[in-house]
Amino acid sequence: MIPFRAQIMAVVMAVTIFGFTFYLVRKKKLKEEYSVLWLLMTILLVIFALWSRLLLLLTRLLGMFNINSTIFFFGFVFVILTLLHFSVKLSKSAEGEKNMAQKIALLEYTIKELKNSIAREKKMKNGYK
Amino acid sequence: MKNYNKILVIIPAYNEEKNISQVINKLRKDATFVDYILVNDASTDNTAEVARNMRVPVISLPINLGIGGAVQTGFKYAIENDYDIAIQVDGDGQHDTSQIPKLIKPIEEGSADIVIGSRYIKNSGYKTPIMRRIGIAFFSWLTSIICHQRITDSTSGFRALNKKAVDFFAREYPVDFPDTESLILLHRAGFTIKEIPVTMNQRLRGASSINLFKSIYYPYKSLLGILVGLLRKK
Repeated sequence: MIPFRAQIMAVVMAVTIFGFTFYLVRKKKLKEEYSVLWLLMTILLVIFALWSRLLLLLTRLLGMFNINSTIFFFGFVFVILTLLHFSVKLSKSAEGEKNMAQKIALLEYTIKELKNSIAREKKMKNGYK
Repeated sequence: MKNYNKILVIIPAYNEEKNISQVINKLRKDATFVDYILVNDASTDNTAEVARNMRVPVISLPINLGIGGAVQTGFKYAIENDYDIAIQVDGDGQHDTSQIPKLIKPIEEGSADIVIGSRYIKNSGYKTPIMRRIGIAFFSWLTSIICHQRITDSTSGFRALNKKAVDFFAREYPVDFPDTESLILLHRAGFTIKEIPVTMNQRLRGASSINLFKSIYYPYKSLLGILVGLLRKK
């Protein structure tokens, strides 16, 4: 079984992270979309901390030696999935950034051309006066 | 030739202030029948100023996108301005612009959608470091197999494309590893690729963008790109 103190630690950790995530979303420093993952993680943490039999069951089911391994295993899985999630987001945002940079460059070029042609036209008109 | 094609030469350039004037002067002498545009890939030197002073139209990217992103900007410009043919010429003076007519001939005849200027069809005397030569040979071999067609210089950046191919690339272009992957992409989309022999010069001045780290990372990344590209749906 999990020692009582460890249980308390886990719950306090979970509540803190939960609260902090919530705070960040409220302050609009974190998008709701990203908060889902974190909130879910803290809820799972609380469940496993309080209901240690579930953890034990899971450990047997996975054929692990002890509970610690199970916790570390899922911790790692979570971190890896999070990183993958970020990589996906980063790729998408890089693509958007590229397209935007290209658009800006093309627009800037067009604007300069337009300005020049307007200036030329003005010069022509003034010349005829 | 009765109906003239509108031809655009795209010159991607990153920190080429020392080479660019020579490239432009040569281009002006060699190919009087083309328009050109310089895509300045957020250079930190005076590339853009040098080009503007020579009255070359310059599109300046706000951030550095790498050669793929710069070239694609040129393709987008070509589509916006209704060009029939786009030619890609590196800003470092390696590509011999006097061979542009040869390069666009298959496109004008309608026998190819994209024409690559190859260094290796016949021995042009172009000296490549041995490791890079092996790399080029490997990727050309791989491209040849995938495209069911002999490609000798898949990494060559001296290319001409017709409107259909440009339009395709303006929408979808593998900016991370443009050379080889773009050929495979074109092949899978049903475009016709043709290679013609060209001679190339050594870089005029300055260092190539490929350093030791890149020379290891680049092949790895491109190989991955190709393999993943093959798995992708058509």
